[in-house]
Amino acid sequence: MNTTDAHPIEILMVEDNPEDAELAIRALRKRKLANRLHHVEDGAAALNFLFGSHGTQHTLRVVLLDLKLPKVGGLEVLRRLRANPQTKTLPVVVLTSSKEDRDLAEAYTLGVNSYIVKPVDFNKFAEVVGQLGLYWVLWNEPPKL
Amino acid sequence: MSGDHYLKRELYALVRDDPTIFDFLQSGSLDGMWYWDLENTDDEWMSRRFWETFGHDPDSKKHLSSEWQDMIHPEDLQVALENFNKHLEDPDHPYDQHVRYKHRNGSTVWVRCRGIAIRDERGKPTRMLGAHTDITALKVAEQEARKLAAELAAANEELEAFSYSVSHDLRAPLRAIDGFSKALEEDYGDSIDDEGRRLLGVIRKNSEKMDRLINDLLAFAKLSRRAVVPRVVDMAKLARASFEQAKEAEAERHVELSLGPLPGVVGDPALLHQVWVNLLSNAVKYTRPRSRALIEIQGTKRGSEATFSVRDNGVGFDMEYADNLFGVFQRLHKEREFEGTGVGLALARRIVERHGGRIRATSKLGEGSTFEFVLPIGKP
Repeated sequence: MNTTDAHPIEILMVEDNPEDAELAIRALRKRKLANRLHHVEDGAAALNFLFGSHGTQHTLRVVLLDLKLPKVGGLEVLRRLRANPQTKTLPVVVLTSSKEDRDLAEAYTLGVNSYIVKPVDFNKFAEVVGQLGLYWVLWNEPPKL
Repeated sequence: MSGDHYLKRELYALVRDDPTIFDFLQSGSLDGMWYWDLENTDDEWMSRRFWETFGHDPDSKKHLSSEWQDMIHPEDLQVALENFNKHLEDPDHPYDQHVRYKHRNGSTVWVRCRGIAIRDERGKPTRMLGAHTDITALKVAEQEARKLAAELAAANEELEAFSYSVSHDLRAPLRAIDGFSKALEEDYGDSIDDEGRRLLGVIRKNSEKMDRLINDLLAFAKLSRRAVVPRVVDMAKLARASFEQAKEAEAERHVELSLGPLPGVVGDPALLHQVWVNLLSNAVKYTRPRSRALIEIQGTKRGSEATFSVRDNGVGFDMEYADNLFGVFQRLHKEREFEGTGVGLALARRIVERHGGRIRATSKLGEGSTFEFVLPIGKP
């Protein structure tokens, strides 16, 4: 979708709301990170991208995951990621609209790296998404498998 | 029996010697009686009340154990027989259970059936004496209560699902409104004049405001549902900390606090903290036009209750509208004068009431308000 060949895919964004996705991509573009992003709109597509024939998960640095997703929910995607030896340590950031205590608890139990409530304020939203991208793509040192 | 009251000794002697006394006891009590021959288990004497409980004419019934055995619910008969056998073996095992009988009109009668075996000198049970207490009304009330509790749980679950979608689904469009207004400003800023930018500002300000409303509403729903976890609470400490927090929003102002000694209570510290913060935030907010803002916190103990009050010298409100004050989203001031979502006092009242207390407000327009809440002191 939003993939180009110039850069390896380092960010997978799983987001069904097209406006949220557009705003997040906009924020990442300002940090020159949008061309490293692949965007899918539901949990099934995310699993397909991660475990399909692409083999792209080796270049991924972070997954930005919404929770309320069509087909396969975000928590289920997280569960499957953690169950698979290849993606067990892949950083996952939940980016969601609601801070529901049970979701928060479950996400951490499943081993999420961060749980972030999308701010309504766009400046804050852009800041959060941009920082996330920079942190996980440029600064964070992933474990060697 | 020598240590007993003389009247008790007298009564027991009467029962022994005068059959009319026992007749009076068994017909005058509400229990049905039964007396069973364990050496010849076909024979069992049952009192008139025994049959009347099940809607039968006592004269139509024979004094045989077979008369009741097809009226009792088969499952309950099993339980009764099990207890019966255990009681015969061990007198300390009680013969006492709730069993269902079929009323003559087809309805179910619940009885508590108790009995004791009467044993001969070698300890062998020869007779069994028992009583039937009609507990149908109690059981029906219990079932009703269980049904209501289940309904309540379902309603709560529904409410939870509702607030979940409120928090999730209402926020997403707001983010889009705010985000795309900002994008418009960023990408087309050059072709928008000052008035255009002001209009965009209004859009964004209102999406933020709606976000606050949603957050407050969710906090209200969440805190209202949360269980009260009681602890000993130092109210003076809590009030002071809450004041500091309430003042933070307007740190540049000077607000004078007079804090008297406050009685402690047993309550949920997090919830009571919220009450103080909400009342004190209001006091801070509505004293804004005063060059010398004063807030006075007092507390007294009366019997098993503690009363706390927060008084300010702010703008006050018209007592005519005092009834609206504690409703959700009810506001007495224009947004232009004093910002707010109208949830704070509703939440304060909900918390106070959940502690078994009450809250009220008095005010004089232009002279300030007093909010007073009463809590049971409680035991740690």
